[in-house]
Amino acid sequence: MTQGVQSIGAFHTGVAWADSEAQGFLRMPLVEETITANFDKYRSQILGSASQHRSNNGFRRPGGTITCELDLGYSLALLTCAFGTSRVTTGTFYEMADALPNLTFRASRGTIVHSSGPHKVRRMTISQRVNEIARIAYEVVGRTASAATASLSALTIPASDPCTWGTLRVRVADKADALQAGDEVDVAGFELVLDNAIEPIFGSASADAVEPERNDFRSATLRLDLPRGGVGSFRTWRDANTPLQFDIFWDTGTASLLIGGFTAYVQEGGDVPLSGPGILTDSIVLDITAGANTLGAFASAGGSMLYAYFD
Amino acid sequence: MSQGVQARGAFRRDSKTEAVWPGSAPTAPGAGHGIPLRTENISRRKLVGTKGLLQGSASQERPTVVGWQAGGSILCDLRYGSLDRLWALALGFENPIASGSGGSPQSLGVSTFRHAYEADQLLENKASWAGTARHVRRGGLYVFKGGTSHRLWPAMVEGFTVSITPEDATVSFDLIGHDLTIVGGLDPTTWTPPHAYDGGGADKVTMPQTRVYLGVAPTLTEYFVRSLEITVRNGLKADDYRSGSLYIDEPIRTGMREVMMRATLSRYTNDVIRGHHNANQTVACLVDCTGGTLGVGNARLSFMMPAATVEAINDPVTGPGIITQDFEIKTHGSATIPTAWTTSGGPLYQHVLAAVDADFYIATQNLFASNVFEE
Repeated sequence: MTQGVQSIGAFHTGVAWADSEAQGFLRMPLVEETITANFDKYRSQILGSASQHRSNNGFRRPGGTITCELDLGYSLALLTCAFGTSRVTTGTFYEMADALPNLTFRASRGTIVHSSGPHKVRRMTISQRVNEIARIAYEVVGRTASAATASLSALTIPASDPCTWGTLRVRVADKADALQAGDEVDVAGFELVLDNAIEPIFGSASADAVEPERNDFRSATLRLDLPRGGVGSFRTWRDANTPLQFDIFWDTGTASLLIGGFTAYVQEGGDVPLSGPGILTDSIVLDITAGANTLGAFASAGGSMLYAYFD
Repeated sequence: MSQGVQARGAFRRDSKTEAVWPGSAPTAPGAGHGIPLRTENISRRKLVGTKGLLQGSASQERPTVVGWQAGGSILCDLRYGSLDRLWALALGFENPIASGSGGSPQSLGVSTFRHAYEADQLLENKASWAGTARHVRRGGLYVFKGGTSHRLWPAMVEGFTVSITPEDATVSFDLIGHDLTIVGGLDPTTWTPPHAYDGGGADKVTMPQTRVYLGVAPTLTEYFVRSLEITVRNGLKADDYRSGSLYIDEPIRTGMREVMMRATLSRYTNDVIRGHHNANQTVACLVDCTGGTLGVGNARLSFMMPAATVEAINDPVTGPGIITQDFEIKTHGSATIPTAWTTSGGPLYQHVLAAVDADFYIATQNLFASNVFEE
């Protein structure tokens, strides 16, 4: 059975960098994954032969991209790995912290189970287009990967509750006015990217990476594809460099997820390019920066760029 | 007749006594020199010096030719019996000691011969006849197109890429030449191949005829692949100009040879190749193509990598479909050859090999009767 239909993805989060095989794996709504654990190869440069010399194993670089459907029936603890922390009140509130927990990933590829981890989430991308289920993709860098024997087939399959197109709502507004009904923006698709600027770090005497560190400021962008040009006030906001607030919200009827940002600026778009006789569209890119959270019970003066609320 | 369908290709090695570069005009190709040409991209590029630097005029000066660059690539069908000269020149050596004493080719009777080509240390051209050091690794590539014959000569083989997929099997040779000229008085209708193009019968390599074996010698396992690509790069210097000439000097190697193979397994079923990668084991690989009945036995074309390491391996899950596995191996020099290749039934059976630390071998079994370096 070497078919993708047999593949099962699972994850768990941890704090200790060496924690790669801890229990408590949760099944994830896996769509595809490209996790590898190839070694860097380098060769001797000794002269005296026109043939290459045998290569040596250098650093091992586990990593790749794990893509899941955004499904509220599955655990959203994955978000912790990208954001950094969560707080629990009536639901689960995720906000950003400097330190990121580790993500250990297991996947059965056909009948072979691979375990890979711990990882840090270098980049998170949440995207959705018309008539598609939202997807969340994690680009990760890690430490080790090995073949594991434990089957994942016993993991419970939750009742699926996908974030479909019809359950999506996007709002953008001047930060000074706060988000409210009427701030909804009609979109044909969006892509939210959080770049954690995580880089693997290697030292001598080991092929495996030590715990990766952030090598730059975090950055985040939200691209909104507008089905018709001229919707909203994006050009005005761009020209005035107005701080904006936004949120993306799915309400499936049984659960809801809101992801938003408190301070964002229009970085690109707003000029509605003319490309022929068809409907004019526009693509807006918001540059997301840190902003204080004013969400009532979840209020925080911290510098979180994104937050999420799952209920 | 300016149609591509009228085009033909031929390759003829230069005289085995040719000692200087470029030497004297070669003998025209004829029967047995045809190659299974599909397309070509051979050009003669003009290199010009700086112009328009003098003051006094806003116009540019007439360009001064400071060099010519001749070369390019040819794409051929992957055939069992029509490419021996190019294989031999690409690798550099075919042991020419007397047939029957372990030299190449071995006569199998009924006009059937078995050749062994070895990757040699260097590729410079030497007309030496001492012992087995016969090293004229250059020739003329002829392409008849549009009613005229174009000749790239003297030309050396910088490398090649063999590609085998379910639908197709090709080899692309990269050649570096001294000059590309139009040559009159040739009769391309005589450029027949050593092994007749028989409409895709016994001579044409296909994926169902191809078997791939890989493992730690002496135990090699057959793997089913859905595609593979073998790339050889000799690292010849193509722009070695010198004073007193518009043309490059004889190309010589400017680095170590690189041989690699990329393949995609039809189905990902185990982690054996991954284990080779993780442990950085030296593995051997044989790509063995066996065609239709030909005199004694079958036509055969074998690519051998006696020592290699697995450089990368990937088996992504891309959806509900079949999971495949890609891997890439790269050879290194080795004094050891798996015994199965040199014993009865092996592609190098009865051959005395002379190369030192060779990282690549090609063996053919076909109708081509000559040692490439002796003919």
